[in-house]
Amino acid sequence: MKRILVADDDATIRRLMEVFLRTLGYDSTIVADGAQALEAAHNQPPDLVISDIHMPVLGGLELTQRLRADERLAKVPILLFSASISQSDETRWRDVGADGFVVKPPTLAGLRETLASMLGG
Amino acid sequence: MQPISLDEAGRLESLQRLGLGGAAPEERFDRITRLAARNLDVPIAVLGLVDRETVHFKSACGVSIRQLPRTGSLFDVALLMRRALVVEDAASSQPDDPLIAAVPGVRFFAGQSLTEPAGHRIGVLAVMDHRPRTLNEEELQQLSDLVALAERELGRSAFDRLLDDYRQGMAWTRAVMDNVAEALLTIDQLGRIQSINLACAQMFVRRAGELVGADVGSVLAPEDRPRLEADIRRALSRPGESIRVVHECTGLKGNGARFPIEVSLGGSWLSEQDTLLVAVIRDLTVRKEEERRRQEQEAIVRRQAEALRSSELRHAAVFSHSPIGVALIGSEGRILEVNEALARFLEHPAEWLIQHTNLDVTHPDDLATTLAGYAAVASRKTDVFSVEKRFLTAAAEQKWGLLTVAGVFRPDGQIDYFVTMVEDINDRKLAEDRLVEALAQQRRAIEELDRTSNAKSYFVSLVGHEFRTALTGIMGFSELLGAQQFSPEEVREFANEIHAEGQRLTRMVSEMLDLDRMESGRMQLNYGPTDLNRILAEVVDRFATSSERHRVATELDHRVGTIEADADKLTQVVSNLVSNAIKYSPNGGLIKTTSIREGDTIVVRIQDQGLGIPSEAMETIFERYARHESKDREFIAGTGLGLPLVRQIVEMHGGRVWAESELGKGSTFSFVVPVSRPERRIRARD
Repeated sequence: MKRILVADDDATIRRLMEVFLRTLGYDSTIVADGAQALEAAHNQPPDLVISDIHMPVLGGLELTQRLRADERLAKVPILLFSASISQSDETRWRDVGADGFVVKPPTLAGLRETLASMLGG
Repeated sequence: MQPISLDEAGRLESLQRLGLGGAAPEERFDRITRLAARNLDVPIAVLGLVDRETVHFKSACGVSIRQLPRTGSLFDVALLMRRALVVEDAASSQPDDPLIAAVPGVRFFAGQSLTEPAGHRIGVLAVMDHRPRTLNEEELQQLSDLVALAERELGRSAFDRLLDDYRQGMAWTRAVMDNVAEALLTIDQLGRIQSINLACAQMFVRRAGELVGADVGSVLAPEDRPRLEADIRRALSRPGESIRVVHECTGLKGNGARFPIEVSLGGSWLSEQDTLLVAVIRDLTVRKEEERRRQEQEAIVRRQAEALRSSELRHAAVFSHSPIGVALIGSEGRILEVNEALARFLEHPAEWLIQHTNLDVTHPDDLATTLAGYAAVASRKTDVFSVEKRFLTAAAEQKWGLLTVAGVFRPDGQIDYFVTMVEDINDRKLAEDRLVEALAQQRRAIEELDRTSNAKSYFVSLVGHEFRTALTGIMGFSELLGAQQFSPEEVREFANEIHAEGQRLTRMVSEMLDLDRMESGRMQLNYGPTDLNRILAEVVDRFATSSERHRVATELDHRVGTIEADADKLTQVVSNLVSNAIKYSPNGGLIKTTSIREGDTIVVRIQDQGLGIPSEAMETIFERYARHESKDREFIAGTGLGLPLVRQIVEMHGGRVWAESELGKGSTFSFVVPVSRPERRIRARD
């Protein structure tokens, strides 16, 4: 079973993503910020990372850069998402090297499709 | 050590321009020092900015001091070097270093200078340890990577500054363009109108769309066009020179009407190919009309003086029946004769006037001008003198009049008496004053609009973020419920999540509506007997059970008793303040609520041990849309409407709310309300 690492600072959304991923048939590790995500990824490289952009300690954009800079983790697909409506988020995710971007709220159907294509079917 | 010279002046200027001098910590730098400490495995990391005499710790972890003297410190040495300075055992090699004195037990120091975008070295990123050690190649590389990161942040500060300057410049230009009474036009190389201001469209009674792109000559009467076109050609043929041409000509309005204008043409050289031409056009209609009237009046006075000089007839028919005020003034200033019109204007009977002087009816501020004018006529420096001045009426009120003075001279050349005319221009002057005031008011309104529209767009993005976060929970969990079978426990949990997020949305919406209602004065207080201590106890109780990390305490004055207030609204005030206290102390601590009766007022204090409020934010926290943002607290949910609402409610009660705070130690929010309903109804704001 593919394992997905999720980082979001909002407790409700963490719980939602946990159930979403279980429903879609994935294993998940859920953390509350980018630093925790980095630590979790080092301990056990995931098959894919989903991260919120705006988080305390280490945000999603920085997390992406840090993962990309790490030889062992550089190839892990990264999906960023954000509840922000700022224009800059919608362009910056590409610059830092993420593979996808979703504006919240994500839907179960949309997530199923996105994850399937990012994980190579 | 080789003495290396730094461009000290340039360096200090860069430091100041970056605006990093403030001691306020910034997460973007704190992140770098934390990374430095972690990656290089040292207890202390400092990002120091070096000014003339002091090393300011912009960010520091592992030490509590915030600055050091610059002279003799390792920071100063590191600043001189491009590569890292590594001192393996500073305590033995540099025992006198101020760093060793300030941070006892420091043995190891490694620091590398920071270069800002203009190339000046302005600070040092340093790591320190309590034991002697070295840095290997890889660690040196890490330090230099972190320096590069810090430099990128410095670059961002520089860029932000530039952007701010640019925005300010734009705002200033726009404000000036839109508020001047003159028409402003920019003109391109082909003599076409490129852009115009508001006054231009109004002056020529044409829409901006008709003017922009049209030939600039089209705003002038046909006979004046060749001259303007020649001026433009001349201006364009001399790039690099600044040009200024002024002449009076005739303007043409959209409806075909002609009117006198003054055109100033100015050129500004932008680059080899580009010269910016600006035309400033002033409407001379009023000035021309005034000039015409003045000349007319002067001609009449001159004729009268002439007539009086040639005949002994002082009482020319024109004198007594003139609709304009006329007086004869003796050489000493005594009023000899006045006509009906002048007596009416000054609101004095003629009998009173002929016992007084011209200065008795002059406003004190215009005495000097009046005296000087009469003296100029008496000494024949000028044959006629005119001035717009303020007269004093019987009621000692000021009234504007246009005074024109001519002299009648004796055969020996000495002044015999003055002939004066006074035209009532009071209404026109008052209208002008009102216009000036209206313009100033308009300017203030535009500034205020600018300020709130910035704040508003920030607010919209903040609320948008909150709404979407809440919606994510609602939509996600409801989608799940429909998608698949879950255990009854999970179904209940999802329903609870949906309900809680729905409440979050409802609360945001009702706070926004409440605030709107109050600010527009559509909300009334529902006064009744109110037990404020009970409200305090209940609210605190409710929050005490909702948070495990916080301890609560209350100290309630029994003399508070029952006051006259809106109990529901005060409950909202207390709830907002207590929930803020909890929200902004994420690490827990004591929340203490106090009430005290002071005379006819009750003071309530709610004190926390949380993050505190930066001093620069203190002034705006009660303003709508002004929620203070900084990296370490932007993750605290909320719309920033709580405190504005608190202020509205307290002020509607005739009370006051304020905050005191120390960054890192906590905040105290206090409000005071009167025990009984204020006599006069006090407006909610201002």
